[in-house]
Amino acid sequence: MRNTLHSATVATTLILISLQAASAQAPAQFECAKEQDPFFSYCEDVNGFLSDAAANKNAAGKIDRANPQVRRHFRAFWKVYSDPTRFTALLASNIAFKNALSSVVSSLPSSPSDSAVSRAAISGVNQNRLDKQSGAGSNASGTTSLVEKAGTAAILDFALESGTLTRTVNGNTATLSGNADGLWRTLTGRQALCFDCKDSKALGSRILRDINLSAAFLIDQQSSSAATTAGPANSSTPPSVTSVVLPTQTGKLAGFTARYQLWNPYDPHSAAFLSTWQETVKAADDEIDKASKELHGTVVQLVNENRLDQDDQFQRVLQSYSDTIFDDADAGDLDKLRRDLVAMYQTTIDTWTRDDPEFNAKVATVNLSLAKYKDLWQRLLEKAQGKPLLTLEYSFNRPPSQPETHDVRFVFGYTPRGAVGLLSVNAALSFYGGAIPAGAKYGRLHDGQVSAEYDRPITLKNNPNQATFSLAAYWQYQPDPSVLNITAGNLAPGTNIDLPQNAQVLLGTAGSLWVTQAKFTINGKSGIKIPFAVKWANKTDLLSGNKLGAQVGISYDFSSLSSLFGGSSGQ
Amino acid sequence: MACALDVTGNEPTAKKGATVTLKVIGANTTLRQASVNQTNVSANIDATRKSVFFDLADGRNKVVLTFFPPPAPETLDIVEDCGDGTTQPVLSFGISIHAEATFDIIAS
Repeated sequence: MRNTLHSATVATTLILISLQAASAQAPAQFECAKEQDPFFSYCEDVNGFLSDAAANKNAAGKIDRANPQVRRHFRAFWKVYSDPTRFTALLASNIAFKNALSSVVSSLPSSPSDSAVSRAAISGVNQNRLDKQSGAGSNASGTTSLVEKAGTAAILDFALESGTLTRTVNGNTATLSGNADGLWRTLTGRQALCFDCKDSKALGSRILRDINLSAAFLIDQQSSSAATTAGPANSSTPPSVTSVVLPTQTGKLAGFTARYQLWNPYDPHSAAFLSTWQETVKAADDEIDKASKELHGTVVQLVNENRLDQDDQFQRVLQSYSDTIFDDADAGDLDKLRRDLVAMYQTTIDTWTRDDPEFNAKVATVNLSLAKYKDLWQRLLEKAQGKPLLTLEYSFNRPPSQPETHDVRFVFGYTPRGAVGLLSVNAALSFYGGAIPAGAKYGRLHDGQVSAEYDRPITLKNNPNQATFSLAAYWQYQPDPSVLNITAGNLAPGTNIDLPQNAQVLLGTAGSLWVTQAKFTINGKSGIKIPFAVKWANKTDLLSGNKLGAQVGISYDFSSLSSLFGGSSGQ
Repeated sequence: MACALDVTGNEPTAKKGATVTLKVIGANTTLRQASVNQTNVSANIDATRKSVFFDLADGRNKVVLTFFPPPAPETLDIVEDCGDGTTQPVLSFGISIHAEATFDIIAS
C-alpha cells in the first residue's frame, strides 16, 4: 500500500514538473480578443511572430533575426499595409470624416463626379438582393410591399413609398431601416469592412448581426394639439371660440419593427459546408473575377503610387522600429511591443498622408471597391449557408385614426431548387394595443394574415439583375369589423356632439380581405431601387367594395457608402 | 531548382531577371489577381488558383495579390515554390480573413 502511494506521489510530482516546464517554454502571447484596433487587426500576426521567435533562438538565447520562419509573420505587420484592405478599412471612418470636411471647406470641384471622393460618395454597391426589405410593411398607408422580406441593408436604407395595399387611408411613408450590428459599428466608429468582425468589444455583435430594425413615418400626416385662446382678436369672432387645434408637426411615427433571423446552425469547417461553399464560389466565378479586378486595380494604384520607399527618413524610422520590435520580443515586453507597433502604424499613416496629397481619396476608392467585394463574399456565404431558417418580427403600428396594434410575424424565404428567384411567405397575428374599453364589441385580436410573394430577377443583356418582377397574394381574416377612433376631426361638418375620449365606431366588415399585387422593381445603380406596382383588393380595412390601386416608391441603400462610414455587409 | 529569393531580411531580395513562383497556402483562400509593379500577371495564375509566377525587374518589385476570402478565418501563408518540392516562407498572416496582400522584392 505504502509503495503504491509512493509511486502515485512520484508520478504526480513528475507530471506537475512537466506541466510547469511546458508552461515556462510557452511563448508569451497577446489575448487578441481583449485588444482594440488598430493593434487588434494585427494581433494574430504578432502572436504568430512571437511563436516563431520563441522557437528560433540563437546560441545566445536571442531571436534568430535572419531566420525565414521568424521573418514571415514579421512582414505581416512591419509594413502595416501588408494587407492593404485591412489598412484602408482601419482608416475608413477617419478618412470619411476628413473627406467630408475637405469637401465642405474647399469650393465645389468643377466636375464633382470626376473626383475620387465624389465617386466614393455618390457611387454605391448595386445590391440587387431579392431578400431585402427596404420599405414599410403591408399595413402601412404608403407601401409597395404586400409580403415582407427577412433582410435589410447592411447599415441604413431609406425608402419613400406612396399608395396603400390593405388600408383605406392612402398616404406617403418614409422608412428608415438597417442592421443593428452595422448601425452600432457605424455609430461607434468601429471597423465594419472587416470580413470577420470578431472583436469582442463590439457589444453583442453576434446577436446584433441578426437583428434588423426599421421605423416608418407618415410624412403627410399632421400631429395637432388643442390650445386655449386668449380671447377673440376682432369683433367678428364669437366669444365662444375659447380653444383651437394647432398643428404641431408634420410627419408622424407610423410604426416600428424589429426582426430577428434564426439560422440553421452550421460548421464552416465541415466537409459538407466546404463542398457547398466551393460549388457556390465556382458558380459565381465571373462575378468574382469582375469584382476582384476592380478591387485589385484600386489597391495596385494605392500601393504603387506610394512614395514611402523614396522617403529616406521614413525608411530609417521603419528600420529602427524593426530593431525595436525584435528587442521588445527578446525582452518579452508585450506592452512596449504593442506601443511600438501602434506608433509605427501612426508614423506610416502620417508620412503617407504627407507624401501623397491624394492618399485620402485613394483610400476611399479602395474602400468602395472593398465594400462591393465584401458584399459579394457575404452573399455567397449566405447562399452556401442556406437561407435563414426563420425570421421572427415584432412591429408596433400606429395607423391614422385607428387603435395601435402589435403584430407578430413569421417570415420565411425559400429559393426553389432549379428555379431563379425567391419565394417569401409571411404569417402574422395582429393584436390591439392598450386597454380594450369596457363594453367593447371587439376582442384583443385584430386579424390574422397569410401572404406569399415570388420574386423573379429579370436579366437584360450585359446587365444582370437590372429589374425584378414580383407577384404576391395576401389574405387577412378579421373576426370583427375594423375600429375607428372618433375625434372632433372626423365628425361630419356641423355635428355638435360631445365625445368621450375613447369614442370609437366599428367600420367595414369582418371576414376575409384579399389583395393581389404585381410589381416591377428597377434596380438602379448606386443602391437605388424604384418599385412600381398595381394591386386589386376585395375591400380595404375600413370600406367594403373592390379596390384597384397603384403604388410607387424609391429606396436608397446607404450601405453603398460603407466605405465612408466603415460599414459592413449585412442581411 | 534552387529558390530565387533570399528571405532572411526585412524584405526578400533576388537577382534581377529571376523567375519567382509564389504559392498561396490557405485551405479555402484562392488567388484571383496578381500584379508586379503595375503589370498584371494574373494570366500566370495556375488553374487551381493557388500559385503564380513572374519575372523580377531590376530594383523594387511591388507585388500585389488579390484573394477571394475563405468562408471562415484561417492562416494564410505566401511561400516561394522552389520547384523541387521545397518552399520557403515569404509572408504569413495569422488566423483571419484576407482579401489582399502586398510585399516588395528587391532585385539587383
